[in-house]
Amino acid sequence: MHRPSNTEAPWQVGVLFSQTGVTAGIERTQLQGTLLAIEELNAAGGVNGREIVPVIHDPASDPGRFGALAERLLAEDRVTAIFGCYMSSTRKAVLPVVERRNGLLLYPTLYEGFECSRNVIYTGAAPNQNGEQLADYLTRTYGNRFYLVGSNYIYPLESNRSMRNLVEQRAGKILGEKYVPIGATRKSFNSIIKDIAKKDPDVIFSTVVGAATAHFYQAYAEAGFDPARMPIASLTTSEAEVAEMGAAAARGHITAAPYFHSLETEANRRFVARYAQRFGTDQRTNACCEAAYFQVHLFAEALRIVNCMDTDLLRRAMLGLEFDAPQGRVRIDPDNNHTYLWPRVARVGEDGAFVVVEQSLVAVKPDPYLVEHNLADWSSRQLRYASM
Amino acid sequence: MSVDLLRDIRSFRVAVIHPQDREAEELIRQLRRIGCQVTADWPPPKELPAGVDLIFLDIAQLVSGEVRVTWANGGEAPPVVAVLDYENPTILKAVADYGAHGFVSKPIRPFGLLTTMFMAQRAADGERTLRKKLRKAEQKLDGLKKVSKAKAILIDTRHMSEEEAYRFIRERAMAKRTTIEDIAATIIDAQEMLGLNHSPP
Repeated sequence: MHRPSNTEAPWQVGVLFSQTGVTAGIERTQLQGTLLAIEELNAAGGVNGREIVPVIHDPASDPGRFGALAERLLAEDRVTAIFGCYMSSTRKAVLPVVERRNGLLLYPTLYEGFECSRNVIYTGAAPNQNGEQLADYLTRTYGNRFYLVGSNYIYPLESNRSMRNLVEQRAGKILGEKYVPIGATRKSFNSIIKDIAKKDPDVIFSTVVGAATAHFYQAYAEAGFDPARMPIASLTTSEAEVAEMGAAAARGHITAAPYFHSLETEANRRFVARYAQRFGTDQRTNACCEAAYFQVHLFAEALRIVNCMDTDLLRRAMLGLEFDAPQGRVRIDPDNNHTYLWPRVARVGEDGAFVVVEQSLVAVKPDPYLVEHNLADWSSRQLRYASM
Repeated sequence: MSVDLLRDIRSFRVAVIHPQDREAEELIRQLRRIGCQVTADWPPPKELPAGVDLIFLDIAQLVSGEVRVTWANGGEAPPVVAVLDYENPTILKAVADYGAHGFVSKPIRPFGLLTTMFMAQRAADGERTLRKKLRKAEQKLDGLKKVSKAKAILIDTRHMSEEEAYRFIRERAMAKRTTIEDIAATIIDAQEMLGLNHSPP
């Protein structure tokens, strides 16, 4: 049992998003989403009358720094909850720390699945909440001959394995599978672009992450390929990456995610307006930023209930909790600590904004240990096709 | 026998193929406590280090890195213990490809390491014994097939009874101080070369 505190002292929480390094572009938006939610809560009087104060460190896109800073947050800064991580390698570095010190990591990023730590709440998409829908849309719309390009680490490798499986289920073919280093430059893509021109696939599936994403899309544009006939499809190319590469390079390409800046829900209109007001009118939100935003609200709701920073109590309160997120109503699945989310597929329009072309009518239950995806399942679950 | 194996493990030469970091340090420390002689290598050496009894392999690093290890999964290669921090299908496929006989998960803890090595070694020993038995059984079966084919040739071309055919082969083997399988093979070869009228049963 915990004692209700009578103190006015603020609630301290840890925040670990890279402000420098290869994935700073996307992680900065996750930091901003986190801060926006904290500021909203504080403006409304805090949680049970106490302000939330973020302790922010910059782990610089480096797994080693993520691990060390998580240690520092839990051991020296004395927080119990950390909002953070983008790349799987950085989550894996934080994981043993939060497990050993019984902290709670709130992880707002899509990832490759096959993990379920009791010390993590996963608010980004599991593969059954984005990859499946993407493969379905692509094979139906463009064809089933795929070319896979990714950054060389676990997420792309596993993502591509799963995509290969989905494509083969559709009697499709993988024409190539190529990897570039995480800090890849434009040059890294020269031979890949040549190979793509030669093999002429229907779809390029990209699991390139971070700054290299812009190089890849720009190299594609320069080669004069046509996105209407052979788009790049991705789960990680969000509004943040589009901003880095520019609308000209992004136009016509496809991304699957539970959230897009352009969604017209009431909650999203408020979210987007406040985000622009706080960080600048040129700033667009994205799925990782939105998850970072709503997970703070979910956490605050749990904190309001238990009124203390005890990890076990917070976790128990968070499991099963629901929230009207910008993407729709989400719920933490008590079975696996992941989140019910709303799969969507979108195409980048003329102005660089994503236009949703397909979306699920229900929030899909996360299934982090799914090995064999089934294309037919989702399409039979009454898809709604938005006008294109 | 099991206790003997434990005694063996204490004198094992263990190769740790893992980048030098806190995990590797913890692993090596515990291996030395157990009594093993440890060598640590990263990047992986091009060939199997000589005299190694057991290998620890960092699978995720090998899957996503540029380096490959080709010497870890031969028939006579020492058993492999996979060091894991992911357990998705990509990783599990690599665990199978490297023929791992056990695994340890990161973060490395001293407890369980000895059990993992014990079981990996036992499984590898068991496999080796079975492989040897299987090879012998296959040879035996092959010999029996030859003898029965040679007998059929003799029955067919020399009009012998089955017993006479067998005795004929055995006497030739004794006279030539060789095995009946060898004599059988000679009869089959001769028959094939001369193309005598014989259709195999």
